[in-house]
Amino acid sequence: MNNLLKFIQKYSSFFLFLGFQLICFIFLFSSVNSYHHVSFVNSSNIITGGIYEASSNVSGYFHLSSEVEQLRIQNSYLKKKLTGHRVLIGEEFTSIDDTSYLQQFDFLHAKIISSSKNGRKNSITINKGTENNIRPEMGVVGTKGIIGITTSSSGHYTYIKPLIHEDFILEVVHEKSKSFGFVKWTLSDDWKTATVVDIPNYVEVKPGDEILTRGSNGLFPMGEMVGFVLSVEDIPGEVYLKVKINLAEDFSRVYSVQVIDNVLKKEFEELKNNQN
Amino acid sequence: MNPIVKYVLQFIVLILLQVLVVDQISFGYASQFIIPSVYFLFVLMLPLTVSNGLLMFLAFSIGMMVDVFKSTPGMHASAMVALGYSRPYLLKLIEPREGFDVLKSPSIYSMRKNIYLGYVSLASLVFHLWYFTIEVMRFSDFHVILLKTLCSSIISVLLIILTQYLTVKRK
Repeated sequence: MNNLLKFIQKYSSFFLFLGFQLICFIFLFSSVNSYHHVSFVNSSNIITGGIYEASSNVSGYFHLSSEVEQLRIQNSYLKKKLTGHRVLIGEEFTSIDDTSYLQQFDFLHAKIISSSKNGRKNSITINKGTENNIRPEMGVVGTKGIIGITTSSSGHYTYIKPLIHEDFILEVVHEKSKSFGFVKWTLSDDWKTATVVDIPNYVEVKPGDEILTRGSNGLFPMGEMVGFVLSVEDIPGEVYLKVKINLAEDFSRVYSVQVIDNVLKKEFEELKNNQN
Repeated sequence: MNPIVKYVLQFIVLILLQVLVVDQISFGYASQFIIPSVYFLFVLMLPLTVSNGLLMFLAFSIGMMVDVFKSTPGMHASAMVALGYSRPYLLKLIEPREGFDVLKSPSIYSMRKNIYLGYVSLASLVFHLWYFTIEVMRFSDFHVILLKTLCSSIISVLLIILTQYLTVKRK
C-alpha cells in the first residue's frame, strides 16, 4: 500500500495528464457520428455567439459587395424560376395561404457570424435561433448550394454541421441517371470538394454532371444543388464508383443562408417510426 | 500590475487573438495545411515556478475555451494538456549550462534568442503533432499529419515571435 502511494506520488503529473486526457476524449467522442447527440461544447452559446456577432458586425462591411453580388445572382435565378409566384421572406418562416396547395418547405434567412473551413470538424454559426423557431435537424442552403444541417440552437444562435465536416452524410442523386448515392466529406477532400459513394459502376457518370439532394430524410427539398462531378474513379473489384465532386457552394465566402423548415417532417417521422 | 490580473488578461487576449484574428487569416491554396495557433503561447509564458498540476489545469482551460469557440469538443484541450505536460521536459531539454532565471517568466527578452526560438519551435511541434493526430485520427495518413504539423508550426512560430515583439516590454 505504502509503495503504491509512493508510486502514485512519484508519477503524479503523469496521472494528472492521463486524467485530463480522459476528460478531453470523453468530450471528443460524445459528439461523433450523430446529429442528435451534440456536445454542449459548441459556438452556439450566448457568450461565443455574442463575440462572433460583434466581430462580424465589423468585418461584415469588408465583403458587402461580394455578398450583394451573390444575392443578386440568386435573386435573378429565383425570379426566373418563380414567374407568377409571390415569395415573401421575412423575419419569421413565411408560408403561402392557398387551399389548393400546401407549401411543404418554408425558408428563413440568416447571417453567418462565424465559420471555419480548414479543419476536419468545421463549423458554422448563424445569428438566428429558437426565438425564430429554428430546431435541430433542419437543412441549410446558401445562395448556390446546400450548406449543412442545424445541430443545436440557443435563443439567438444556431450551430450548423456543414457539408465539410467529417461526420456529415446525406443522400444525393445523380441528375442525369437518377441513381442514388451518399455524399461524404472524406480525408482526401478540401473545402472545395466532396466524395459521392454508392453509385453503381454501370451508371455513366461524366465530369460536369450535376449532383442534387434526394430529399429522402425530409431535411432538404428534392433537387437542391450539391455540386458538380469533378472526376470518377472505378475501383477494380468494387461494384460502386467513387465520384469526386466540386461543391456548388463556396465555403470560403458564404455570408447569408436560408434555413429550411419542412412542415411535413413530423408526419414523415411518425410514419417511419411506425414502420419499425 | 498584479500577476494574476496580468495572466487573466493574457488568457482572454490570446483567445480573442486566436479566434478573431489568426483564424481569419487566409493562406490561399495552402490553407488546408496551414492552420496556425498562437494561443498556446499562454502556457509557454507561465512562470517557471508554476506547479505541474496548475500548469496542466490552465492549459486544459484555455484549450477548452478555444474548443467552445471553434466547436471542436476536446481537440484543442487535449493538445494543450499534452503541451502542458511536456513543458517541463522541453525546458530541461533546452536549458543552458548556467540554468534559467527562475524569477522571470519565459519570454524573448528574458532568454537568449536562439534558446527561446528552440523552446517555441519544440512546443509548437508537440502541440500541432498532437492536435493533427487527434483530428485525422488514423496513422495510415501519417504523411498528412506531418505535413500539416510542419507547415502550421513554421507559421505559428513566426506569428508568436511577432506577438512577442509587439507586446512584451523590454526590461
